[in-house]
Amino acid sequence: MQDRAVLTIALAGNPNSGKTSVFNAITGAHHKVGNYPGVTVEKREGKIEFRDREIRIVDLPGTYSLTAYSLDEVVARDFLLNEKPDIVIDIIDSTNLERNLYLLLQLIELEIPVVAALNMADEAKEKGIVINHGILSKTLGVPMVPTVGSRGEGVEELLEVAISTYEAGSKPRMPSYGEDIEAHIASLVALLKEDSAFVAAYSPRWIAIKLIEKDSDAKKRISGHIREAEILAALEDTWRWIALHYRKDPEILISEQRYGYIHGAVAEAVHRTRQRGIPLTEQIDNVVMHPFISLPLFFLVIWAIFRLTFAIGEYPMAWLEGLFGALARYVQNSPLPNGIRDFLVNAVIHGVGGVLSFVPLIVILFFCISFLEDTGYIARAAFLTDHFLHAIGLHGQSFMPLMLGFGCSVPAIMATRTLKSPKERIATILAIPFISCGGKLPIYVLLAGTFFPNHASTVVMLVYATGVVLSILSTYFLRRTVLKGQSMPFVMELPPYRMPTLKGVLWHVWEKTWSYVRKAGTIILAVSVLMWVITSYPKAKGIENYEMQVRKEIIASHPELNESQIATNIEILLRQYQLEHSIAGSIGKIVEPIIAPIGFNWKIGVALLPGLTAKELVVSTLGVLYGTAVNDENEADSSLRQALRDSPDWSPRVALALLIFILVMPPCFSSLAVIRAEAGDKWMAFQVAYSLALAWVLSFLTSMAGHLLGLG
Amino acid sequence: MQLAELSPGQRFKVINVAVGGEIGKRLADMGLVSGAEGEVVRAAFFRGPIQIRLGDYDLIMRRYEARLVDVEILPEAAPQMASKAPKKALATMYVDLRPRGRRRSHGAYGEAKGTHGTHGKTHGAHDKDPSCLD
Repeated sequence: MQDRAVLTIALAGNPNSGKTSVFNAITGAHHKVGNYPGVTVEKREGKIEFRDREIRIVDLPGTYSLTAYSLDEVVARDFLLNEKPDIVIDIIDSTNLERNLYLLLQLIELEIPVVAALNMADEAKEKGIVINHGILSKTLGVPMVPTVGSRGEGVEELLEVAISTYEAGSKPRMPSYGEDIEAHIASLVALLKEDSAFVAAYSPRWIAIKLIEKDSDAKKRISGHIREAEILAALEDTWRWIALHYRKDPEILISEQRYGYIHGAVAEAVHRTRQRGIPLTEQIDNVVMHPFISLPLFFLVIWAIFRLTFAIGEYPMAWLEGLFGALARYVQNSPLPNGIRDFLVNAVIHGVGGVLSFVPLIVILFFCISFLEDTGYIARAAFLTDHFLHAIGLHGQSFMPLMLGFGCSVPAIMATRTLKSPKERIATILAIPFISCGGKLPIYVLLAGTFFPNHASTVVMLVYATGVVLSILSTYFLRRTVLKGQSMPFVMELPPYRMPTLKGVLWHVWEKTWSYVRKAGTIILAVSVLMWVITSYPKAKGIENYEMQVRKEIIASHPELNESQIATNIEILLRQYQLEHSIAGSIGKIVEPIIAPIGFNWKIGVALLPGLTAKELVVSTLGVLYGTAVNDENEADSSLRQALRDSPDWSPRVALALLIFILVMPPCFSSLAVIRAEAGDKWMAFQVAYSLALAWVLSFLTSMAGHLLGLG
Repeated sequence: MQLAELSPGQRFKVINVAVGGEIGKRLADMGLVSGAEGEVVRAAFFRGPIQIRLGDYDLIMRRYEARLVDVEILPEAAPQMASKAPKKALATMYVDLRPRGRRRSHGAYGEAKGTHGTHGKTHGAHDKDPSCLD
């Protein structure tokens, strides 16, 4: 066993224990972020060279315990049980010893060598908490090293102690649950030990304790054990005995015994030069959580994040747009063959530009969110908004992602990462697309302005409001059907305020941005290319004849136009002709019978297709389809409005139904790609089917209502 | 008495977590075990979640979860709360006037009368030095 080529160290610890800063201090810049297999829990991993050894460091999710109830805890313990790291380093918040030692006891029971970092040693000192780590370490049988992760203090010593502990092969002392319970544990352990294959895979004591705790996963792991029936019988016996003697649920009793054991150890090793209390945090909270100030302040914070993200984000987005525009022009003027040039400009450059256009938003948004999360404000925001959101089946932490949905669904969906409960997280993700994003506004403005010129702003407001109401109703409905089930217990730590470190925040931003580019970016690019193909191919037959024909017509009807104006007009008509004869045009005609009851013709069907790449494109596609002879580009918008008003395909009723359809229809592909990355294929497919069906029904109803109201 | 019934400023000692399963285990894991002492710090408006302080750390929980924790109200004693003392006098009187029989106690475990050492939490039967246990 000794001197394996690569030593694996797992970092465990409570949330808010400074685990990430210790991880960053150990690995420096040499780490990568992935996912634990099959789940969306992030996995950070780094490799370092230390004292002539290669060491692999795996950062486990922050947990308070190792139950089978929460995804993070299951991921952490599965890693410890299945991959058996050589050493576990438990990062302990020294200012909050007892609750942090609770996890340590469970790590000890896994019988993997454990070393504890008494982190935030500086803060503990400031608070007057004096820890005699020699005594504590001796009492618990775990080597301990004081550290200050944010400054990297003690980290080197921590690694040295970890390696020497591993080399010495020393095992920590098992915590005791008291004579009576220990007797029951012992008889379970004896039975478990009879299967040698089982003993090779698991610590019998750990399994015995987890069984007493009614742990569903431990129960699964003993299935197939040669003495399974006897073990289960002995377990029933233990539960009966506990119920009789303690009148408590066994899982509660085990927790109590652990805290009792810790309390004894801490009483020995810790003394305080000052009374408890969190003075600075309390002073801030007296303002931030004040009944009259808290909510306005919260809305101010949300508003500030929104403004920062979308107002500042506009500049880098404009730079990117300029850059890609210049690149497109450069390629356009290059001597490449026509088809390749078209492909590069309209598929590749457009697609990459589309992917990168979200990056500034994600960077700024996650800078704000990471900053607030590291200060401890996000938990307080959950406290303030939970009551209302819980009523519809969401969580206090759903509020910010929903608000961000007004800007753009992509960063909003990514912001749901702060939610730990899987069902409430999915429910929040599915609620976000109903919130009208910034991309939908141009369509609303076009349609409302064209068909309701006197009430345009009222109509737009109503569409936005309908979206909010729908998002609430839909969530309420989904949480009682497909996402049915108890919400996760809302018992959260309210961490003290801490000043975030710039390094920590920047790391977080980098990780989120990279994961967006890697996981969503590739799909967005692929779909952009696909969209280009279906709107450009097959090349329309007889386009040369058509061109000559329209040239004659234009010259006949508008003799005043000069040559370049004629060329512009011809180009518009050719694009229209090409689109009509492309795959997209055919799809539009195929779906026409389905959307006809709403009052949509095939052109609207075609216009909605690119709406899937980005909602903004609906307007430009309508522009192509209804494009008419114009003298200059500034006239394009008003002429499109005029063309729509004049067209027999359109009426205020159709416009209203289309507004509702666009509000409800599946979000753009970028959002779908992010939904897939965050929630998986299944939920992305559900989102598409659900919102398509709902969009059809609601716009059909709107259309019917329009008939009754005499809107044409 | 349930934890959810307490008002901000009141101190309590946990008697028992009334359920097992996911919720009970989560509460116990987070330190709400019999004998633990704490204080209700504040409540969100419209009967929203409550914030409690358990020694060195604060927890927030919904009232639904807080209803599952049986507690006993402790008389106001903590010296660091001295500045707030006049406000709390009423609550203290109320507690002292309660008939002793109504103070629910749990015979089996975690029933320690005095406070242990200088720490807020008190653990009962197994509150000994762990180093003596092996």
